[in-house]
Amino acid sequence: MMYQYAESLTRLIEQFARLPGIGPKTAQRLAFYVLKMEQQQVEAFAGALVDVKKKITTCPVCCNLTDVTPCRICQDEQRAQTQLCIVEDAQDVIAIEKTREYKGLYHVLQGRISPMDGKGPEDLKIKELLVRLQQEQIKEVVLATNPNIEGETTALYLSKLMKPLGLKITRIAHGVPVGGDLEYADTATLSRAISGRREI
Amino acid sequence: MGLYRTEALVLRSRKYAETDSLLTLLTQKRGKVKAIAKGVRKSKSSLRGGVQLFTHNEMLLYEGRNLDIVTQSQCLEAFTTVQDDMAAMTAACYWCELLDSFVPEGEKDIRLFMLALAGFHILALDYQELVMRALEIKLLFQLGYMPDLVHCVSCGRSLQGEQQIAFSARRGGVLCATCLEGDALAFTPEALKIWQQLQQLEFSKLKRLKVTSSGLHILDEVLEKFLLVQLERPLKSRPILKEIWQAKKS
Repeated sequence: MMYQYAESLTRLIEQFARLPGIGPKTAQRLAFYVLKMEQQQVEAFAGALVDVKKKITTCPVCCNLTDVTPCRICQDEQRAQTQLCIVEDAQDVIAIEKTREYKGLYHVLQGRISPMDGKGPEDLKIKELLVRLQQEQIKEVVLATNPNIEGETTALYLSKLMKPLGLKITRIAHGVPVGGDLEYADTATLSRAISGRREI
Repeated sequence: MGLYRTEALVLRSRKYAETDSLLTLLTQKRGKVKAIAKGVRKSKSSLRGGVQLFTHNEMLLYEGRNLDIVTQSQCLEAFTTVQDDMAAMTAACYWCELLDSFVPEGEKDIRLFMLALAGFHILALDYQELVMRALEIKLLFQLGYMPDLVHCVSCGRSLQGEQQIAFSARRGGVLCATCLEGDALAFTPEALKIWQQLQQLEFSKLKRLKVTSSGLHILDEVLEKFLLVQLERPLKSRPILKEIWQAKKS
């Protein structure tokens, strides 16, 4: 009979192989690395895996990922309660937070309108958004979906939906990236950068 | 192997690795091609402007073993009208999904490329439903998937002037009243005429075509089933596009 790995090791390899972008060889390498790790490290690793699944939930208010309900941003009374920034995914919240420019609240749509993947408006957290706009004292909505076709369409759809509510609706600016090169900028970006120019 | 220059339409773009995109292109010189655009999700990428979804570009590609690599790209036409309207964007998605699903990889077809390009130019027009039906029919015709619309697919009798007809997606054509089968779809001489006209008419003359909403509805049902049978799976964006048209009308 052909020799195979011990059952527990095979199981670990199979589990690693389930992760995106990890093939059978990489899974094997990772499993052997785990074997070489210290007991404490392995336990911390396993604990982190179980913990993240147990503790992280979706905030019932803003639909962001959180370990407390409501999430820390929704709880924070220091933040401007009248501004609401709409983003596609939880990662986008972190990206905007890093700028330290924005001090308002967030709403995470958990996706974008993407007909090619069979995703329409009803697959996003839009109902939750409309409830918030009715219940909270939001005065300005910042649409911060990605500046690609799908993100633009999502922004357009939301702006039309929210127009009758009489809110100030803004879209994040489009333009040339810092450190970029005008020569390589596409016409769409450049034309928006020119129409959205500002006085200095 | 080596570099080649071609005009290309970006039909699909997916995230790939950390900052790359995996593109499905319809090229003028090599038909449908899958290509990697490296680093285009970084904000400083010089390639980014020329690899956006629903754009017509002039590209320089390096032929790889499995996937080609986009080395340079310049946007020729960005179809900005598509971005300004939800229905137009969904229609563009549908057109791309249709092309991606039906066109085989690596087969050069200039006429098909011209049809795809024309599609992008006209899909934001206000008689969009008719435009999409015309695109579907012309694509089926171009790729050789046309059903038999002249003779009954069961008994072979000519159906010219016949009033009672049905359509069988499974058998690929029209049926006469005597050969009617269980899974045949309702079809009318009017819907049949619209189909033939859409197949022959140039896009510039589409607007002049007089059609009733019931005729268009029957044609829609028949085409949907026919596309499903040919493809053996449903097209994801078709129901969403229909929903958006419904919402627009109400």
